[in-house]
Amino acid sequence: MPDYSAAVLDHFRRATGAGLLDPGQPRFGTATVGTVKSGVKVVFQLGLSADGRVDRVGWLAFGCPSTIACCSWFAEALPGCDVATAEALLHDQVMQALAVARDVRARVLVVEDAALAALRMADQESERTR
Amino acid sequence: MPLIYLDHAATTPLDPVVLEGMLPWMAADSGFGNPASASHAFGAEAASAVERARRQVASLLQAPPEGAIFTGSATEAINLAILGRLRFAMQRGRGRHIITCATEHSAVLAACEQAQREGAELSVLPVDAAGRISLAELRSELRDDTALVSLMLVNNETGVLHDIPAVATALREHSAMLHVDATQAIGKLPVQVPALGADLLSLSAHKFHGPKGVGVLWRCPRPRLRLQPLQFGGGQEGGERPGTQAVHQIVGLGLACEQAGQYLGSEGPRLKALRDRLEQGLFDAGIPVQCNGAGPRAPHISNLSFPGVHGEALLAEVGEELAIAAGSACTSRSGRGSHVLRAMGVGDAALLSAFRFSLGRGSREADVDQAVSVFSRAVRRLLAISPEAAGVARRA
Repeated sequence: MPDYSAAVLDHFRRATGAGLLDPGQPRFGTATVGTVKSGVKVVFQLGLSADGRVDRVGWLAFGCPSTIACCSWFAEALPGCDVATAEALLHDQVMQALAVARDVRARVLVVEDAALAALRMADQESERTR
Repeated sequence: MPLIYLDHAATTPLDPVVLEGMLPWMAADSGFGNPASASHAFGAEAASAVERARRQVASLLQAPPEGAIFTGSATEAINLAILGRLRFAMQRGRGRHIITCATEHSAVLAACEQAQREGAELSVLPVDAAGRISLAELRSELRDDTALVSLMLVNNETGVLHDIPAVATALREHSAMLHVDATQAIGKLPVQVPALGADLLSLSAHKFHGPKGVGVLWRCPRPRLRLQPLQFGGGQEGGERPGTQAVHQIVGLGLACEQAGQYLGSEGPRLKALRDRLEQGLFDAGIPVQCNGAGPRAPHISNLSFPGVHGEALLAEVGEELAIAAGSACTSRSGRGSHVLRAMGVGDAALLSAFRFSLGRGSREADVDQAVSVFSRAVRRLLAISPEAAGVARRA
């Protein structure tokens, strides 16, 4: 079995936030990135509260343990963040936090892309409802 | 809970009878002689042990013992068969064309590619969705200068059998030699050279409860099928595989052949019953399962995919309870997937979730039932978090 960090295995097993959100709620964003053929496919969803903070996260993932662990880590780290903080967090913290192996980092980037796209969609929705 | 071993196609545990038989040949006070040292008792005793092992191999294969060449592995045996025969044929103007198949072991494919680099011409037969070649396509690829056809008896990933006797019949009127990679078949199926019609046959001891580091290339001795050796410097093994013979390993190989012959009648049906129980158990569990490979299969291998979940994630789920081989894509991270399954046209979702379950002499019903339980639980958990679950057709 390939080597995974303890943090990857922990999040892989807990899979915090797995499942889809109710799309009918306001300030909601969803994004699907990746393909089965490429070995990673992620649906990432999040919602913002009225004051612009992430207040709910959901996801589904087809991928390796690092992919699933990354989704779980975001689901724990994002709630409570405003959009700017969430964007910064999505850009560079997960690799280090999970000690992701170098050869699977491209897969983590897919999760980052999905989460970022969902965040921006929710932010745009938020702008429209303001 | 002890790890359940379901990777017998990779290697098998050493039979205690084999180990006991090998030990005297590693002792400091006797059994250490060089078989080539015919001038004293130590050497003669070792030479006698090597020849006894050769007879044991031949007895299992129902073939003349002088055809058996001891090698260091099946890979070496395969290389000697393919490169040794092609180099000889090309030197003597007896052909330069090889035919093999897309689902062969990488040892065969890589040796064929090496022969190609040295001037040979290579035809690689495709397989159908079941993993089998077409005899008509084989016949259509045969040329006047075809020197060798190399096919495996049992596919190491799917267990699918090639109809080797039919291939031999197709070659009967042709000068091409037939090499059979029988590595996965020994001890599970009858492997008899006359029935197969093989001119060359490769095997490896550790696949059937013998030691690692020793294999055999059997080649037709009457009339002697000529090979160009791959290495030089001694007259051992008829000069075709020079180098001091590893007596203890060769003794172990001989004993493993003897044991395989004794177990063969009961082991094949028992393994088939276990394999069928495993497959039925997973089909009945209500999870998506796809069996890769159809038609006649060896009794000990089952290649199953679980579409909708990623094999690497599934391996991480089951890996603490089961020792099992994931499809090569999952572990290599190459993303390309098993060349065998790709050649069979297996789709991406199944390719990335393929596992090889391989059973052996130590496998019991309880192991199979536990594997079914562990896999069912793991697949359900991963499907629950997979975006592909909704699109997966659940087949029973």
